[in-house]
Amino acid sequence: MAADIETVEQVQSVGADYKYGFVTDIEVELAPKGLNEDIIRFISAKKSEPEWLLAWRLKAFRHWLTMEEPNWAKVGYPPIDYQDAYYYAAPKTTDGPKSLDEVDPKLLETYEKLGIPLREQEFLAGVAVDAVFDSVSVATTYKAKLEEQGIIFCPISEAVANYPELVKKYLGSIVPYSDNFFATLNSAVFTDGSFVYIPKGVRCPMELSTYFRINQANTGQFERTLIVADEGAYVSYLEGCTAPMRDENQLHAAVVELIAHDDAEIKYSTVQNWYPGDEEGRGGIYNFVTKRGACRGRNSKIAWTQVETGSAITWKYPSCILQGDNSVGEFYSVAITNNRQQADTGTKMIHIGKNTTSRIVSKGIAAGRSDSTYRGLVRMQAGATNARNHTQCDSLLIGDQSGAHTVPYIESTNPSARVEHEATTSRISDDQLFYCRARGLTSEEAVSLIVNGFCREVLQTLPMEFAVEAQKLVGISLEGSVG
Amino acid sequence: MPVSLKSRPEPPDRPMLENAMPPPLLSDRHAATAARLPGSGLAWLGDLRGQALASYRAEGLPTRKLEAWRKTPLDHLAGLDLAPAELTAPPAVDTLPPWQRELVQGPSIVFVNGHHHPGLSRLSGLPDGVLIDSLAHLLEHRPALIEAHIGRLATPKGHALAALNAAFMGDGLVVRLPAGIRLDQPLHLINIAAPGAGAIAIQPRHLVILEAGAAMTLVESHTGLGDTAYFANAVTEISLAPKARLRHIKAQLETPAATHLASVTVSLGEDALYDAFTLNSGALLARQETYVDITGRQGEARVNGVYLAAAGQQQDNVTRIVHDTTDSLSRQNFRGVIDAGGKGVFQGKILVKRHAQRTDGHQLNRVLLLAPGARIDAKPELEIYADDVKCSHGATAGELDEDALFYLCARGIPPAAARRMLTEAFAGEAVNEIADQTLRQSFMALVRSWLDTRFGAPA
Amino acid sequence: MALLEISGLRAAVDGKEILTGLDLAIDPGEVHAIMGPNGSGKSTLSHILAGRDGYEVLSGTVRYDGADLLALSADERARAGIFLAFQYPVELPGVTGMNFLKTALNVARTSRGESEMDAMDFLKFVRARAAKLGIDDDMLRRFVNVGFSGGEKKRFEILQMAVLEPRLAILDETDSGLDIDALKVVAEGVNAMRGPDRGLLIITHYQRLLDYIVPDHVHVLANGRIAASGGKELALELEEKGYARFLEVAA
Repeated sequence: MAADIETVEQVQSVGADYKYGFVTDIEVELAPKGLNEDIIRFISAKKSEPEWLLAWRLKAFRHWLTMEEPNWAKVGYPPIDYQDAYYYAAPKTTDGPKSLDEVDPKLLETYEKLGIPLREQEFLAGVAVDAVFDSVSVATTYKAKLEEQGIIFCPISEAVANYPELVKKYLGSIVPYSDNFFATLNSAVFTDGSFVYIPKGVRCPMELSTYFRINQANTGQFERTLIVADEGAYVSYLEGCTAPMRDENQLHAAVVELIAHDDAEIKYSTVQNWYPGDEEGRGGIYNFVTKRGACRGRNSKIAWTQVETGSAITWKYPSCILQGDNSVGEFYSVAITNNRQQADTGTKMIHIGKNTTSRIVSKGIAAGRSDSTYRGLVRMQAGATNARNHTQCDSLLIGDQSGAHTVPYIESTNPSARVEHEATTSRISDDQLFYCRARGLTSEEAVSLIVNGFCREVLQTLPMEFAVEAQKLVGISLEGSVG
Repeated sequence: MPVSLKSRPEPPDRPMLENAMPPPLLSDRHAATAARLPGSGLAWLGDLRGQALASYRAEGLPTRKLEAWRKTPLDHLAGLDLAPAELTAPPAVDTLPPWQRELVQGPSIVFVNGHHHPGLSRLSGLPDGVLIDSLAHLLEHRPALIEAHIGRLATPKGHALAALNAAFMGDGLVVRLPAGIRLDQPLHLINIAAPGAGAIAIQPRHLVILEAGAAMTLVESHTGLGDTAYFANAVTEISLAPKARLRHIKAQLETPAATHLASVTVSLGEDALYDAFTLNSGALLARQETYVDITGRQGEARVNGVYLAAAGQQQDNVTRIVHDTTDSLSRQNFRGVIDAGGKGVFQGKILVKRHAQRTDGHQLNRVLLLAPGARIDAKPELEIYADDVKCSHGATAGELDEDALFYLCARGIPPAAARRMLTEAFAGEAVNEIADQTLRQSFMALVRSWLDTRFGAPA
Repeated sequence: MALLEISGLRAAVDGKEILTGLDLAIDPGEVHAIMGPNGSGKSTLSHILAGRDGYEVLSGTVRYDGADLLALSADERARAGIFLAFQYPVELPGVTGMNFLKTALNVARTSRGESEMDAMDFLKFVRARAAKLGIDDDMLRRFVNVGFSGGEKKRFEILQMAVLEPRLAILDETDSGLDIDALKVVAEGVNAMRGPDRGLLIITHYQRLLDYIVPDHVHVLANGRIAASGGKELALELEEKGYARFLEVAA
């Protein structure tokens, strides 16, 4: 009960509007608008990349030109003009800061406003943060301390320079350059993102966190994250995102690749709060993201937790390839849509190895005139002897103008593998609301409380700091959804 | 990034478009057949067939690029030199297979190769006002009645197979029950495919119209003779007025050379009931599509089935229940049993429209994979736009429960017999949805005889 | 000759040794009770005797009627007259109780060279036994254990025993989850089965059941072996003093 009261207080304490909608006025360097091989060469040169990476980018770009934008998801948006955008935007002052002291104070201020005080985080919170502002990483904290244990946590551009062999070995090994329209675009133009390597047997002593911020108008953000957990390693990684309020739509097409070797475990948590657009559906981020992890080794484990409250459009299916025997994949998701938001999200669990298990818990909440779709695939391949999957998808509708949809695909070719899928759709009952209001809660507080209860199973899997933020977001995202 | 007209650069070496595709299956046979189809003198029917043919030519036979056909290849049909089942050939059948003869006690109407066979049909003793006749006969004698109903529910647009059927439609069952009439005995619609030396296409069009408060049970059975390939593409349109009740039970035991595609489109009025059960165990490839539109308040749709796939077979079920009004109910219960080399596909959908408050919908698809090499692709789907609803679905795939097997063995039942017993019980849970006890037993017997071929006779 | 003779039985589950050298002999007509704390190996013993997979016998022998029991599969043991009343009876959706009983009885009869019982005789035979356990026709028409209460499940286990008439019955925690009235009904059912040719092995945590089914011998199972044996008074002593001293001795 204490936690519930806390939720209510938190919701009360936060204003009704999107509070991350400000713009930071900072000098930026932009590449010319548009997308062609010269722009890609420009990006690669800006980052002083080796020849192999440029070649890889160009291969992706040429392949992308032959691809069609996918249209199978239950989202609608006008055609995107890929030529009318900047593919590179960098704060001018950042030429690879050596420490926080060299970071532009305006940027530090921005992160303070976002609730990510980089200095304090470094000194107090015990969370290592990599902050990505438009196209580049502006600060990575705690680096030295992590290096003592051989942990690499740095911008991926830095990793390309300092650990080329590692990057070359793993980049594109899970999401190949030709994977899908948006991932291929990302492969061609990705600018920054985080790189994490946890050596054999090391348990990362703190949460690693990346904070993504889109600031510049007319830019797309294309970050690329690569996390490798070597044998017996463990890491918990957190990701948060915000963007200014703008009337136009901005594209975010990220790629995340995770690799877990024998006995390794990666926990990847996201609180996605990109600007969702206004009540009429003007503006907002188009969030087309490819996230995939491979449980390469025996007894390895990858767990995705996501709280998706932002973006005008979410198109995202964090997946697990369960290759190693006894490996485990988990997907916990809360997706909240309000106003005109559209979310089409879910997961793929590909069972290849013996005794692999996966668990999917998805909670979709649709309010306003929004649509929320769970789309998932569970595949039991012929070698997945004794594999197990359990999927629970629950949808909650708030108001009679929203839609909630469940589209699971189940494919099995192994008799000893067991797949179980359950899904329900319901609404918050008047009785529940009345009960809360009879105890003094406003409608909005009641909704927040009930929805947080509905999502509890997922929110519990988040690290503490994020769980609190996520609970708040649940309340805020649904403001105005009940009369 | 701003949203404006898409101007992606052209790829440098985009291949030329392929040459024009050959005309889709059977479409080149239309010209030679059209003049001989029943009702060929009727202008409206000519228009209907012509539009359907154009629509089919434009869309072609479904390919795996279509989401609904992703798991269902029809490539093998292209290799067949299919001819429309001949209209004038003398009946090739003068007796029925015993199981089919004994399936139902009651009136029966027989179609051989999709054409009515009056000699084998038994339609005496029906209540006054009940119309049970062949489409071909009615097109000659009561075309206005047919015009009012045919092609209203199964529209060709976006549905290439319904279009193909419409282009060639000429015979089939027509049932019309006047208001308040209830048939005590089930009507048995018997379908026999008797291809001769060459592969044939059988495309019946059935119409079932139940006026207010009318009620009946329609039992369909499908079987074939010989080992020549044939392609059955049946389309059924069912219109149920307020308080009408139709129980629609089907047994599909086509030959291993058959491709059996069937679509049923149902319009459900207020407080009406459509209660369907389909057993699919025959054919090389069988696909049962059931589309129910619940447009009347408190309408109730029950769509259930058992599908049994042995080596080389594929059994598909496609359902789409549309709740288009308030206070309606739907239930789906499907059980699949797939053996090595067999394949099952389930695509079920519950669609609740914006105003369809207080919808109660449930769907269940459970599948047993009996051996390695068995395959199931399932896609149970919910699409919901109304908030005051109770909708759920469940899907499972796997083998028999080890604990249950051990429990049976611990009571002395040998493992093979225990497996058989549990498999029978598993399928039986969907067969039990058949309301009529006699029919339930008949269908259970059909399931058992399939199990006999797989497991041997029971202990 | 003993009906059941277990000598030096050592057995493991997932590589962990649970039974560490167990000896036990049951003669026809005797009722034995095995008592022990949680984790002492009680359920492992019952499952090994019934032939459940997943248990690895490391050494020792189990002879039933002089023959090697471990060489038989679960169904062969059942047809040879061994009956396990499960602690957690399994639900069998779609299988009616009547069909289940008939199938089990007829495979046993056939294997003994007897003819199958005809439907009418079978109905009479089952109804007579069911009535004594308060099981009506309606319950027999339901699917096995589906939606049964704890008491109904245990009564149905005892009915199966009454129908199959085993030579050795093993009751695994049959009293768990039963209220006192249900316990009495079950105990009466079991007592009715006592006879000079039949052995009974009652596995239980509490002596409560033994108030109603009075054993000839009581054994204490601790750390995977028999730590003490005695008459029925041993059960009362255990009730009073607990298992602690046996655990210490064994450890």
